[in-house]
Amino acid sequence: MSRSATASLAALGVNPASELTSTTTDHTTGRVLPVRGELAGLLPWGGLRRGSTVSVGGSTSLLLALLAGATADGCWAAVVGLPQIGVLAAAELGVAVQRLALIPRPGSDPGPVIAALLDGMDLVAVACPLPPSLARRLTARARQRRAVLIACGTWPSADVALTAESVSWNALDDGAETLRRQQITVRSGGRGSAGQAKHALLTFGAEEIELPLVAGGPARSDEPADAGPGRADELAAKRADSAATRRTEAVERLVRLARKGPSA
Amino acid sequence: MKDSRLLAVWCPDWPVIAACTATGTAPHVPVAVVDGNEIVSTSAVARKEGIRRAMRRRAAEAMCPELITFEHDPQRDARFFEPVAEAVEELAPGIEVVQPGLVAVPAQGPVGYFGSAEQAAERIVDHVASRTGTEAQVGVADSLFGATKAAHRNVIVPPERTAEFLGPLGVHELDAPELVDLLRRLGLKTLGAFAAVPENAVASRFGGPATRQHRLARGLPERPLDKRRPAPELAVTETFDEPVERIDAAAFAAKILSERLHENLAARGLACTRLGIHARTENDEELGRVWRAAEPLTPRGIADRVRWQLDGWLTRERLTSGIRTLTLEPVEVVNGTALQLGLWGHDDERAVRALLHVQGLLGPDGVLTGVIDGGRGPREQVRLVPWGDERTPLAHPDHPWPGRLTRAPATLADDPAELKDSEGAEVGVTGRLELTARPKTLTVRGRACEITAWAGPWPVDERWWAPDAHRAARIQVQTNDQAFLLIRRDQRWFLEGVYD
Amino acid sequence: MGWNNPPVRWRELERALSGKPYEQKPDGGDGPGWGRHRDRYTAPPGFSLHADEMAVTRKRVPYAELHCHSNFSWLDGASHPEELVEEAQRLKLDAIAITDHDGMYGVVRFAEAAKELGMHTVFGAELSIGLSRPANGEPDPEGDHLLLLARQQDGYHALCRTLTTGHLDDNAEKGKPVYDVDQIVADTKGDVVVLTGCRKGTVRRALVREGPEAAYAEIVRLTDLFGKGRVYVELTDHGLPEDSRRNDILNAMAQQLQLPVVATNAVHYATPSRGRLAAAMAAVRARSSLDDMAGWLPPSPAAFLRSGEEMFHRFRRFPGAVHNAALLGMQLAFDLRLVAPKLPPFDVPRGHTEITWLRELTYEGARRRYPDGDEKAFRQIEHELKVIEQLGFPGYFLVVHDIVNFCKRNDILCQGRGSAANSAVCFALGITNVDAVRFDLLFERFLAPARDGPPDIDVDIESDRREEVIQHVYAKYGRRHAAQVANVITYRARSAVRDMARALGHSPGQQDAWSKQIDRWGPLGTTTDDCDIPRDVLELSAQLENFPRHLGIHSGGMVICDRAVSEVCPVEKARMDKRTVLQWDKDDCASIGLVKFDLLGLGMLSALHYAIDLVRDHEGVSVDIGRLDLNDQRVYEMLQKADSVGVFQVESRAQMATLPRLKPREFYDLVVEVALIRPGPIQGGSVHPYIRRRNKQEEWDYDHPLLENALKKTYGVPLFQEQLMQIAVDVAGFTAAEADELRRAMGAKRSTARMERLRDRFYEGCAAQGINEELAGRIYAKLLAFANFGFPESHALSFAHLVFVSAWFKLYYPAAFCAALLRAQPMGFYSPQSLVIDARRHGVTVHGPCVNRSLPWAGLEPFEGKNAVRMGLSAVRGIGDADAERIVAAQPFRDMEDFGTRVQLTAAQVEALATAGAFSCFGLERREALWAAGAVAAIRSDRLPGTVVGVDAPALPGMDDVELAVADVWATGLSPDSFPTQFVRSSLDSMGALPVDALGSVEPGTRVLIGGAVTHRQRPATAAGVTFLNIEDETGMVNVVCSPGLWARYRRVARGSGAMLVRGVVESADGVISVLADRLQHLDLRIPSKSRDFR
Repeated sequence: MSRSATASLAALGVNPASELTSTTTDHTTGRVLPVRGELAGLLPWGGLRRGSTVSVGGSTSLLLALLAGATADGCWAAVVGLPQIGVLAAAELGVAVQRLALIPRPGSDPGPVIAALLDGMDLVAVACPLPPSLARRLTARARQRRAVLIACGTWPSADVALTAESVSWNALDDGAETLRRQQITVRSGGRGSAGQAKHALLTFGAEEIELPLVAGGPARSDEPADAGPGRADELAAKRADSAATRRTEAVERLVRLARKGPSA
Repeated sequence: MKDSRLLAVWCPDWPVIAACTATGTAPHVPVAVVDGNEIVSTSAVARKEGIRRAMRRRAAEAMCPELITFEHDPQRDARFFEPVAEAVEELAPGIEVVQPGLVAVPAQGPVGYFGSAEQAAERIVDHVASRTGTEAQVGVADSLFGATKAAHRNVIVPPERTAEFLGPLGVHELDAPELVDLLRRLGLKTLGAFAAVPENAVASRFGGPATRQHRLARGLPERPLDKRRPAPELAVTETFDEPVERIDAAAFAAKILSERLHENLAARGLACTRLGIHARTENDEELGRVWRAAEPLTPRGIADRVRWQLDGWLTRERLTSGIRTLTLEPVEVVNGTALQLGLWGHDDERAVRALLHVQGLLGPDGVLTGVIDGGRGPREQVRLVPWGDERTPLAHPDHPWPGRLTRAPATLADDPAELKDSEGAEVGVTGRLELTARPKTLTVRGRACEITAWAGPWPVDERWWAPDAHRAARIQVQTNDQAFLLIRRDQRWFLEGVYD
Repeated sequence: MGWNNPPVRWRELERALSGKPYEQKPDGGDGPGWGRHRDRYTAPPGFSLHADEMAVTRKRVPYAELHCHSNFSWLDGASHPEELVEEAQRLKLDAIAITDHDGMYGVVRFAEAAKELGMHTVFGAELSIGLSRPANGEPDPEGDHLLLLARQQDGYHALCRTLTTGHLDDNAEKGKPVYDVDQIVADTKGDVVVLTGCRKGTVRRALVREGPEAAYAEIVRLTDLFGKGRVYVELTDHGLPEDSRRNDILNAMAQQLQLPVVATNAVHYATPSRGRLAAAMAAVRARSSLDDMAGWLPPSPAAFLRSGEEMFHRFRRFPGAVHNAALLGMQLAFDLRLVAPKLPPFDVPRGHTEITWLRELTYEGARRRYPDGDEKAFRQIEHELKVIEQLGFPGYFLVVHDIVNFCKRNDILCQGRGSAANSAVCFALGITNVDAVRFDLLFERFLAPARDGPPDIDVDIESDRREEVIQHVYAKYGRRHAAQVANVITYRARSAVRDMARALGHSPGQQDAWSKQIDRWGPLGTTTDDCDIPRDVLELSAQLENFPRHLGIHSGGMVICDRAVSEVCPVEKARMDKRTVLQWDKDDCASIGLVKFDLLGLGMLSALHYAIDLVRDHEGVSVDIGRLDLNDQRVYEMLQKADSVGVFQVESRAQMATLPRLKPREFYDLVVEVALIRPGPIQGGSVHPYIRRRNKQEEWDYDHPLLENALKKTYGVPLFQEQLMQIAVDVAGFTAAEADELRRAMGAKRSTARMERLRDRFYEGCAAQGINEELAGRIYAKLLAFANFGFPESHALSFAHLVFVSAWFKLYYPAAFCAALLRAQPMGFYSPQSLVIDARRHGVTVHGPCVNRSLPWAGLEPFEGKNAVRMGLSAVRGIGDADAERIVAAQPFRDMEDFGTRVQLTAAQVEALATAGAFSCFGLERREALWAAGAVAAIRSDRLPGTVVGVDAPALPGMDDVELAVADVWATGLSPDSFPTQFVRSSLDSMGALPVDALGSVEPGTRVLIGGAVTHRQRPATAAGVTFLNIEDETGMVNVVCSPGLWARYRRVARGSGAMLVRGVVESADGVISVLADRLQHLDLRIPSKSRDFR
């Protein structure tokens, strides 16, 4: 970058993160990129350390969640070889998509592409299969360029491996409800200080409102409070039917009366 | 006076010509270019139908229903004008583009070379026609305004007689509608009559801005000549690691450079009225062009001209390689008054260069970025555009979009799916927006799984007024360990996403 | 003016009157006999009323829809009230509610349909609370919604009361009621039920914005306000992902609070097929396009009516909600049989009842009207008074008398119009100026015992002062007791096409072009063939046609009641200051039985008033227009020459072409002229039988001697509705009341049982008079043919009087007449330019405006021994009435500097005055003044005199006549002392073009060339595509006939040129000259002129 270009960018308030030199802690110096709380506990540095390689498996949501904090904080991220990535889900999980570049098809020789990205981006997620030698070279390059390499799937020399053991959602119900709340159980493991396996539960989505609001009662205003929320569809339908029949009869009597009223 | 003599080359109806060239529209239909609601340029055929400049679009379309209109697009005008400018330059080096459709050049050169102004004009018109198929007209006078009006009439005005030439022309030649209306009511119907009013009377009756129009009417340059030569260090240069071949990639560099030039000038209280744009390609081709502006250029004005010029060069067939360096040089400066604010937001240049690099490796479509757009489904709400393109949403993402999905799948899909009820019959959606039966099994790519729970249907009937109309209904289904988004369109189910 | 010639299907009438077979087609005019009138609801053909077999043959889920918007929610509902009722019936709902926004606009139509189809009805309204501006132009109008349902009749009155309170609030404006929630509670508590509402109800808003606690608190607040048993938690499911979750939450809250839940569909249209129209209407409401609205629109058309079964399935998690809706619907339902309020008791002197007081006033007036004690007249008056007493309408006449009296006291010209002129009592009371007795008018046309309501008494009032009369009525009876009748402006084919084209994103030019292709009144279904309008635009437009668009004010109808009319129908503010208007139109009011008075504005009465004042002030002559000699032959001679520019009613192109043929010689000829003239036949070459017979060009006889009594005065041609009635009396022995019934039956629907009965009665009556069945049938067919076209004779009489008076002024005081017409603008057929040049042709001098001599409006001043017209200052571009009055108040001025010091105007205004020559009185050339205007406008009043610079102009070119005319037209729209064509006369001469006044001496059939300005373009529906151009030059005007082929060939010139050269053949019939064009060519006049086109 030419001097004048840097000057003009500085004038615009843009400070390339790599050039910051403060020395208090890793977090404040930008050596560790931020991640959300539960994930921070799984990572030995409390965040994504620049120059490290982290592997992620089992859930695309987990990958996106990993990118969220840093991009929201002004970092740039690229995702290589993941053409089906849900950018909207990324945005919902907190990723700043204007700083998320997608390279869906890096071609038959992805090495130079990934290397070039490691030169300029803060995080590079790679989801295409690579020969182990290339993978190791890229890990080295990431370290050298102080970028974070996130590997989707196994990676020979990852500092940390994060694996989603289960992905679950709130239950849908006979046509009602909608997917709102996602829970991912994540296990971490890795080399060195990251060697000790840890677990964390990630929750995405609004806080649950406890229903029914009345303690112990079901969310049905017209029925006795005797059925739990977890019953089978058939039971619910049957109940509803019998309740409906009772109601129908009552209402129809009333309707008949009302119709007779004014005309009689 | 002699060194201010200018030769102007003018292409009539240029915005219309450019629009027709760009779209392959035949010349014998009525065509107009509109800016907002106002007609800014018309074809000869449209004029025959009564369509005039400054007419409201509504009136024009009512008068001539078969009128074809194009939106005003300065970039298009500039792109198609570049070959014309080049053709002129081949005979008259040192041309300056005033606007797409109009170039000016000090008359001395071509007149000296061809022996006379008439000869020069004839050769330039012939040359432009044979090189580009464009009809051009030439005028010579002592001021840019005079030369332009002379070109409109194909006239060579003898030296020192520009005022005399302008005198009989109507005041409407001035681009100041309110002033023109008042002048006419005062009986000052010609430029000569206006010019004859003493300058101080003009200033006191019509106010300061009218004095510039008064100068034009008198055949004088827009501004008193400023002999100040801009200092060479005001110029700014940028060298690209990856040669720039795409206009959208170049636009960013153009913005940086324009901003830098503007800052250089503003720091000295200057603004630019003539802008030199120079480029060198990887194969060492030299490109250069001077743009001349009536008013001091704002940062956006500079950036626009750079972008237009790069567009003109890059879409030119002759260019054998990408642009490696770009230099902006202020050729003429005046005292700048208001300091304009910067152009654009914060982009990290290091990341930008890396992405440009990858685009160089994979092609422009190799690097995409998602623009969050308005819509309801996970696909409509994201538009993937080549990196460097405008990030403008097509629809409004901040509108409420009732019926928008609460959560988007992290993985998108587009696979045919089968949804069956417990009897094995296909589940459909009725005209009154209900499922025909409870779904029991989901089959995708030959793999079937049992549905444990489902929600929906959520029907959409979107953009039915447009060619991209679509009707569909979505449901979410859960199996033992997974959740899916399904969509039904054209009587078939598809897997739209996986909530993994 | 409000009185246009209705398009008569001439061929049909001609055919029937000439005794040829009659083809009946529906007619769409809007004259008195054929008013645009909504017929009582009948079920559409093929709509079967189901015999209710519920619970007998199958299981049926009871359900009532309680949240339902009709298209009277103003662009937020896409079905007529009737359609909603029909669909509810089809779906076998138990009841249906109508809950439009902030009003009861559609309830009458809704109730009528429900009554017909046997559907139970619930009435309610959705109140918009907290609007800071009207909802139009917003993609998502702000404000919280509060859905209130009336509990029976009392609830309905309470709702009307609170709606009125909101609409009449000091801060309210049209489309923006202002409610106070405490006031709503005070007005309605105990009488209404609250539903927690839709997306925009406070509960759901709180849920979305602040979460469940806030929503819960909001429900609690509603129960605190309206009472626990009065609040229902509303659940809706429009197939949106969040719907079921939200319903779960609301249901749980309801359960905890022990409140009932109800399911609704928040209906906005009857069936899913209207969803797209609803979306397009939302775009119209937001003044936007569908593209820009996409993010606000619902994803799918879900807000339609659903059956009980569908609802039960949809709300299977909350089956109680569906049943509760049915129960609540049955509890709330009632028939809207409102007791129509009566007129307020009239304040009569002690010792009098209304009838004795009316009697006294009537006889007092009669003694003035008939000083010699006309026995026949007094007999008639006594007869009428008896009928009035018997029907209980004396108060009604006293109210009208009071209004007319108010006008007289305040020197406001007025006169009764319409059938009131059939009444001798009205004549005696001074309500009308037509002597019903003298003209043998049928009282029963006005008031008959068989009629079910009070009569219409329409009062024409000079338009510039009508507001005073309206305000008098408000002041006298109060704003809750008196209100104006609404006029529901509905979508016509053209407006529908325009709005739908815009919603679908087409450009304004295309909107214009397409809407122009649509015949003005034709239904869209008939215009689909040969136009290039896209299918989707046409389809949506056809659905939109006849939808209510917005609420206007009926031209003068006022309802006055003895108790608050606002409790029968909500009253709201009109756009115009100090006006309040009902939410119902005249048909709704009539259906409910509200008594209406029509106070109509008539520009000609204003003009006549100004003329009277000018003649009094400047000629010293006091004119009583009631006492003019109606046999003044000079007036008729003038009219016979078609010298009638500016004269009431007979100035139009068509009328002018008839006057020389009809040759009016006496007052009654004017009555016929007013009633008879329709453009098509006269221009089209066929001549009305009346004229043929009047001019003895046709042999004729009565079909039967018994017809003579009725038809004698119109030469056997029935022209008036009164004649229809008289014929029924004479040939079929009808009573007057029966005859009126027949007239009305024939004018309205034709296939009813009543019609059958009357026809049988007619045939019987004829047989009794010895008229055989064949002849009876022929007479009956003629009556039927003419029933739709006939004009009330009484009305024609009232108008003919104004024709005479205005012609009289034109003849004797042309300057005063011209000034009066200019002041009363806008009115009439001709532009001010045409009025001025006509006055000049009659020797009147017209001066342009002058800052020292002009009034705000046109006036008179002495000039060369006569009175000349001086144009008013408000005629100058950019000078408003208030500016003009400020200038006049500061007169006189010494010079421009003085003017600038004492009157603060903008530079553009002073420049306009200078351009108009208004400073010529200071000896300044216009251009000198224009130069000085810049400095003069900059003078502030605190400046020292004599210090202004820039007032003295440099040498500026002088102005020639053309330039002066251009300046005049630029500044005032007309040139007072020239006509544009005179400046090109020499070149017109050299081309061989003739001046218009020379055409009279040209042999018919000669091909000529003329050149002039186009003043009008007209294409009457009756003229088979022929277009008429009115061409005017400095010598006169002539009618140019353009065939469709010619029009197409010269379309550009024909449509666009302000002035043209016309080549064509001179035609002449009975002294009427026209030119049949064969070539049109643009003529450049250098002076712009405006034409009144296709009005």
